[in-house]
Amino acid sequence: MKPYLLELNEIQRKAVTNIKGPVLVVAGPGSGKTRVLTYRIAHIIQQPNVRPWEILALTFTNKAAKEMKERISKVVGDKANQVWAGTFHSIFAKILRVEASKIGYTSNFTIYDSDDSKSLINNIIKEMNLNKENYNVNTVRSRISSAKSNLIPPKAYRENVELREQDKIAKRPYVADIYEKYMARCKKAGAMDFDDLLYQLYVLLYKNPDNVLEKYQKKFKYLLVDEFQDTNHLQYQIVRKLTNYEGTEYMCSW
Amino acid sequence: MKERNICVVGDDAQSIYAFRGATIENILDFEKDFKPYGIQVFKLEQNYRSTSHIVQAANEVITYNKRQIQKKIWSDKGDGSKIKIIKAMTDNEEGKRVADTIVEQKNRSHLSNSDIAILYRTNSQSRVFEEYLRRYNIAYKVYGGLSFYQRKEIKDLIAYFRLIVNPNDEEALRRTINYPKRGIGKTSIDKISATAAELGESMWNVLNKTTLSKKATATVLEFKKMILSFQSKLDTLNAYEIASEIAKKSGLIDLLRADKSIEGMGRMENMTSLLDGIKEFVENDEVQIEDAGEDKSLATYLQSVALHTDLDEKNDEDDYVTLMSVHGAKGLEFKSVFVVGLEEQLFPSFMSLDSLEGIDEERRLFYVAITRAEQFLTISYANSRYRFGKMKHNEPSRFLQEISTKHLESNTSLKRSGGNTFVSERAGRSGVKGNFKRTNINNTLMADPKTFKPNPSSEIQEGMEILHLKFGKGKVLSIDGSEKNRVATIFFKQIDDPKRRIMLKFAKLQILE
Repeated sequence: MKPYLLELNEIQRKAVTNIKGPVLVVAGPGSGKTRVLTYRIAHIIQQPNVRPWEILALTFTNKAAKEMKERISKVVGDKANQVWAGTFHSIFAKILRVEASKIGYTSNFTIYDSDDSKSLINNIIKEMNLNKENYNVNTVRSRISSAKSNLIPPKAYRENVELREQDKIAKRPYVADIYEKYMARCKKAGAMDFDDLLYQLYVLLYKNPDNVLEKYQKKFKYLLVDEFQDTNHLQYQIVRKLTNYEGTEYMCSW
Repeated sequence: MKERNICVVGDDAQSIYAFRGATIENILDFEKDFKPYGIQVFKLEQNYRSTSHIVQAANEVITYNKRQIQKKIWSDKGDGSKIKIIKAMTDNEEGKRVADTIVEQKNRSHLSNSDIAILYRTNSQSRVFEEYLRRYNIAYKVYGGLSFYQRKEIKDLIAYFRLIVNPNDEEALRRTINYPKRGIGKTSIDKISATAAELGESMWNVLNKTTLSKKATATVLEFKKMILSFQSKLDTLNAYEIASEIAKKSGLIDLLRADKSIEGMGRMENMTSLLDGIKEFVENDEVQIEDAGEDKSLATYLQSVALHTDLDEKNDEDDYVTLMSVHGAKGLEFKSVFVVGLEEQLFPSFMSLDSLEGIDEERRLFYVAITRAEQFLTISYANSRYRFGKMKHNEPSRFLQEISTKHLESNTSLKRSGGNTFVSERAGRSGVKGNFKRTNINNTLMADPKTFKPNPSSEIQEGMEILHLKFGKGKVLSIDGSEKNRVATIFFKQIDDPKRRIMLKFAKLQILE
């Protein structure tokens, strides 16, 4: 048995060596989750005909990704650095930079943090002469953010009866307009907010099934997700798309 | 094409980011979703971190949640210490007793500061703990304030970097165009913005197409020239060289240098440390995860800064007690953990109380909190605390009652003397969620206010048996202080921390026969 497998208990070892997916590892607190995840990757690397850059491991923090790489390299050495391991946002940003032109961006796009988003929304509210109380910038921002996270583009937002009703009752009927302007202004500025890094990637994969989606599906033969309980709807949909497990297809008019 | 290999790892019991849009259903339904594809499920149930009392208490608490992936976490590290409960009268007392316990643990169990963490539901709770740790001279560090990259002076410089890498970046342009002040006022900026909207272009692209006053036009063009000159060096200079040049030539450094206040010097220090960080980024030849094979350009640096995650900041080099929110503690572990403020309205938060999903999320948060502890777990609550400027009385958190007493230190039985609240035994498992009968609204009182008749404090003498509304029966051990400010040391036998110093001027005490 390989020496690293001896460090594992029986169930951990099963989780590491059963490399045929799909696999769900339910990891209680302090149960050696990172060890299992990293050894699983190390184990996959050592299979015949597997190249490290065919493995994509998604985390929520840079620290987790870094730790993962360090641990993998203890088993397989330098190959660890060729694994695609990083946060959802950074890996997606990397893909988006390569493919930017396909969704109307350039590869030097900058990233808006929440203050930038708020400032832009504020300017739009002012320019539209809307009442600042009804259009609270934090509320508007969080509505835009959850619309994106649920794959609802501005046009669909406008046509969604439930959302329209909610906005009407809260006396902010123009949220859809703000949303639309916000998206246009971000694009004009060559900027993406944090939600865009997920949303635009989904749009990219959805709109380009042959020349983009298939390329990454072929590239990433193994996909691993850490802290899966913290994923949102959009992250899950992207993961399913990349692994070619189609769930509900989101048919929106982009 | 055939499906790719997918493996997801996680713990539904530790899903605590619903407020950021996390969907716990993703993990709860994963097995069902992938059943048609022959999913394999592995449950890692052995906990290598904590001793048994802690693990079992966590198991008990989480069973109260409605939907979950069934699992039984266990540990073979022995029973370990039981959980200590601190009941305090006020938040201030909570702070003191937590600090006292830290001192005791450091002495008795030889813990270092870095072995210890205080975890709270909201960041504003840190103040009282800071106060006592400072008083006891214990080094501590509070996490969760403004992160380094969110500070104004840092964002000011980063905005220049952004504009140089991507001149169309509207927010970066707005932040830099008149900072440091160059005399491009709000009117000019509004005009530029209006022209951009009119022509359907970015603000940068219309800088010289906008009609402004003569003086403003000159200044705007000067600004544009400066940015372009930085831009022309992007290909030849590395991130550090160009960043230093930007910091100097933009006038940002001079502006900070001119401010001789302590805050100003702090801001200057931050700016220097940002530049140092960039230098390190440039010189570090270790291959980074994010940018394997990429360059040391400003654009690459910018990407790493923009996607910096909060949790990345903790480093373990110095010896200090960690103070952070429970959310921030995810994934961390400490020999000794204090989970504080276990009160209804606070933990669970008042914002979660209107839905079962909300309470379940708070319970998972509590689960995360207590499972950070390896050997010592202390849970505290106060009967009253200042919140939003008002003294509030809260009942102990429902989560406390979900831990059976066999895991709690014996002298901290949850039963109170004086017939007060808090049934420690569970009233049967099913259907009790959030429905505990609470009989006593005055659970902060140890005496009946209706029959309580305080004596004038001048009559209080050493050796007397007295009654205090909050602390109950006590004996006056000694009296000191000046004539006008007499202070009594009183031993209250009904409370946990019995010896109290009471200012007689303000005290309401009833002399008992």
